[in-house]
Amino acid sequence: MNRIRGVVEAIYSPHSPFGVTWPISSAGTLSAPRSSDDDESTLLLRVARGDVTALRVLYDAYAGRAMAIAMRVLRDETAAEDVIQETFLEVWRRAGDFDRRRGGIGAWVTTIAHSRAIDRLRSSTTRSRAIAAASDLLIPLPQPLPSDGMERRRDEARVAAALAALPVEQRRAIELAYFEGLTQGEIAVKMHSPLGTAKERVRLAINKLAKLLKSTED
Amino acid sequence: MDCRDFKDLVPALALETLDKSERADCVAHLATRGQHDGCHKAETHARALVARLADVLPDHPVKPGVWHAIEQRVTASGPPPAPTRRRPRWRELGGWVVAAALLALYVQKGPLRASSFADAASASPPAFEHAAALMMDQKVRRYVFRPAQGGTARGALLLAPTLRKAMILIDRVAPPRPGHGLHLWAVRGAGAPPALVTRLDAADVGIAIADLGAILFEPTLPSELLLSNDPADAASPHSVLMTANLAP
Repeated sequence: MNRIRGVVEAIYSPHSPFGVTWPISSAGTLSAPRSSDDDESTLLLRVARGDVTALRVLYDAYAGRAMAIAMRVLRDETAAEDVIQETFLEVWRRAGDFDRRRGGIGAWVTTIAHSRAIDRLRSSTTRSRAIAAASDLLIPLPQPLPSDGMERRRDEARVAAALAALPVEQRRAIELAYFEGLTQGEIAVKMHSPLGTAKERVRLAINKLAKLLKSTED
Repeated sequence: MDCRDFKDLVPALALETLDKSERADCVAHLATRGQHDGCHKAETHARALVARLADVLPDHPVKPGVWHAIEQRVTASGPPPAPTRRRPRWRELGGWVVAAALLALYVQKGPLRASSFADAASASPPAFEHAAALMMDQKVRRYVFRPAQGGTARGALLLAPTLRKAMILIDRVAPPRPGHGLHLWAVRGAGAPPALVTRLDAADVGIAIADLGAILFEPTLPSELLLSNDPADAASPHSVLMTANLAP
């Protein structure tokens, strides 16, 4: 969420290249949004009203993350760029329908990008090729950065630690699903395990991941 | 599928790792009216959790041209559609999702069983109700469209010759650009040029359902159908999204 705050503050600075104004308090200081939730609501409202500048703020905040997941799934820069276009066009069209009770905008954008990348992967790749192409290696997890106080870094570290704490087979199942776009049946083939085992690993892994993350955030 | 089944599958649903039929079952379950045992909340939590997995990837730089392309497309498309009041909007979208899910089931498995259909169909848009009866009829001929290379559009033609009735159901179509639209073309006989059958309107969730009545039967049944996304006044198909072979 601090991504939005950083980008918003940069864009709404007096030196913003976007030519938009932000309310200046009577003391002449920049009235920054009270919270990143406020930032998100305001931005989405503006996108829904057709403000391209607001869409650009969201793009600057989340395109890199969306591109990372699209690249990871598709491994093709041109296809991933198409996914990014589709993702932000969908954000443009659906901003007015976004329901914040269903999660933050970052999760929404990431979910759209992931879903579009999976659609593209499954429409363009024969499944035997997809299984064969899926990496046999676990994702290298980012190392926590000492004394890095940014919320985003802390989030990365929490997710990385939770993934690392999963049994290897469960972590592998999640990674094959999310980062390689395999179905549960394909995960079973890739991991040489019965379908039921693959399904159970996915289910247990997500449930355990939720508990691990909750325990670190409480 | 009941709420307990759904919640068992929700982690896999959020990971997009279900196969088509399981996913369609889940989507249809979510869209059904009536009491749920925390299904929507479970789905929301699972999707938010799964989205965090992307946190372990370092951001990937995006070329400046990508933003310029987006900017051009949103500028050309005009302002986003105005949101309607929240509750009816969700109901409507839910209905279309049900329609898409049922279409996916139908394309994959053929005629639907009434028992698995009734609840879901009650939540679908009115246009879909007309297709519902045909989708449960074992005598109706079903032709599945083949997407053009790299395309994700999906569709089926339902043909009831004895009733001289036909319906076309399409989903996963990208919204046409301004001045463009979906066109259905028919080829009658080898070498014959495609003739326009009708233009179709897609809902903003990428679904189109049209009752073609008897027009497909006159003068003879086509040997092939093509769906294209072309300028409104196109005289022939150029940007073909998918085709269906109707030849015996």
